[in-house]
Amino acid sequence: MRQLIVHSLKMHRVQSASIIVSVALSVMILVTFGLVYGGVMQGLDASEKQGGADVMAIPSDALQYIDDTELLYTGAPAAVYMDESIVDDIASVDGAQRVSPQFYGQTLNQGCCSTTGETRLIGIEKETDFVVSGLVGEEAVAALDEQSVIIGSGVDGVYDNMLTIYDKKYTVVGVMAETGTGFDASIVGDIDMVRGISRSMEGFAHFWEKHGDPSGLVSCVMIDLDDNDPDGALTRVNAKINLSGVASPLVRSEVVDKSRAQLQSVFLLLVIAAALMAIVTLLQLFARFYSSVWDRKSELALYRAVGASKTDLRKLIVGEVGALVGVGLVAGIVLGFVAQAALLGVMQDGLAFPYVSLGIGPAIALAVVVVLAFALVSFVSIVVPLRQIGQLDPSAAMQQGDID
Amino acid sequence: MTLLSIQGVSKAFDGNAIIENTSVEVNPGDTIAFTSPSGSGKSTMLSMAGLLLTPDAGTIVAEDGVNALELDDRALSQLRQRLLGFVFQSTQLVGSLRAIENVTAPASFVSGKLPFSPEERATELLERFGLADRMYHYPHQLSVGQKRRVAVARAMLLKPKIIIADEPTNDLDEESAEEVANALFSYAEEGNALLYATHIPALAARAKTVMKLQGKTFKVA
Repeated sequence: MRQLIVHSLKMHRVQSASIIVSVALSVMILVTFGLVYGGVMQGLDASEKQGGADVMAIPSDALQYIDDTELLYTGAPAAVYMDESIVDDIASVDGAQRVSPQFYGQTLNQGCCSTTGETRLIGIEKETDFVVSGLVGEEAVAALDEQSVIIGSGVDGVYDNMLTIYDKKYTVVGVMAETGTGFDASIVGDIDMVRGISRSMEGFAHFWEKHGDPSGLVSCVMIDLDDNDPDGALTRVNAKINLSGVASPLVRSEVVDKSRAQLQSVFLLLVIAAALMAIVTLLQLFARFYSSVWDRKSELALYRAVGASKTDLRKLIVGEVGALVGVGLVAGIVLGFVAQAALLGVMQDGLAFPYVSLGIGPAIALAVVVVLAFALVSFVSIVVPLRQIGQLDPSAAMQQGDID
Repeated sequence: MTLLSIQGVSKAFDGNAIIENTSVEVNPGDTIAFTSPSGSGKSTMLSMAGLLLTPDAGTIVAEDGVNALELDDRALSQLRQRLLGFVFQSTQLVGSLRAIENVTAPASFVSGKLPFSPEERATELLERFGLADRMYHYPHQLSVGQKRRVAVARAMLLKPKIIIADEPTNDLDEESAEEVANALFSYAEEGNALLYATHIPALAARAKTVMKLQGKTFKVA
């Protein structure tokens, strides 16, 4: 039977190759989108759960340089500062349950430090922090001092639990859980330690001339609202921030919802495109095998005459479809995993979003779902051809001419 | 033991009777020729005898007493594999399969393991028919006579007890026709049976039994 299947596929080389390529492309697109979509949604969820703060107060002019999603997710180097008095102002608001300032230092790279790639330096106030504590534990945050840091899950360049920043060695006292955001590529230190490093940076002098000494500055204030009255607390905190004249509120849930809506629109379009391609592929399968049964009725009648049952012929057709779809599926899944990185890169060039790659389990589950869906729909597409086999008259073999 | 007992079979197409009330007993060693003018029903008769076409009336009982007309598709296919081999009027070789692959094709549909290797059997048959150097040729690379011998080898692959051949020497030169006929008759002499249709008197004369169409019924001449 295998020999006859291979023979038939070889006989229709161009059609077979076209179906394999179509299936592979459809599957590749579905797998790629599935992996990226899953990773992005997982990233958004992680960001929502682990981000910690309900509201961020950022300098009023920050959004001139960088948009809210970039600020929230990508760890873009935002050298934005405001007077730290805003922290006490916000803390005094009824419903601002926890308030903690952060100071954004410079972006580090292998030119200055042992880390590779761009790494963001963030200072936190360990006495009030609730954001980093949620990712690494309170003990690690409490252990921060002038010689120690906490690193994001994506930071490398750590040797013997030490990393180097501007020729000075720091002990790593904790690694944060993966968030899918810029935190993953961040180094967190005590706020005064980071201010100290930034103060000595020549390129940052104009900031200190404009805003004053870094010891009195913060880049943002993370605010955790009272869960008993979140709406009321949000209203009051927003009012306070807006009234300050130096800061603007960034409501995490609004940014996450906006990102989710934007990304879902993009993915919806991509998935529609992939689904249409899959439908075209399946129509192609249908057309190939619908006509094939009639085109090959001489050959199939001959097989009936030499002992093939209708079931055998159906196995033959299913085997051919299985071989074509199987090869396409395997190729498509492999290509899908490869293309994932490329699509992610393209999307990240234009959009800011958190991303946590799917683990091996969900990735395999996705591949299995795609395989099962294609197997099912492929089978449906050949139901009619399979029924036609039941109508084949084996005595036709007696009247046929040669079989090409 | 009777290999196939065909009793009172009839067949009509679109209300036009082609065969009526024909009976044939097929026993080991039989060679039975069906003769009639072209287009008068020889192929229809062979199709019914070969269990490819269901008669409108009558019975066909196989060697083990089974009424073949009551079998389901799978059982009927298995009976065809076991009992019957076909040589069609046009050779019916699959153009994209090599000669040896055409011969082994029937083995593709046998469930379970055959007691012999299909490839070895095919090789042996092709060698016996003088095609040792043509085994890996495609049908378009073979002469008409060679193609017919490949078709005969294919019919014999599964060692059926009855070979059904429709005009087996059609379009062949005298020498090729003789070779093909000899191969078929030799097979029958090995305890099998040969049913064939022909319009060639000399070939018909080689059969132990000749059945001629009288009206719509084949009767022993």
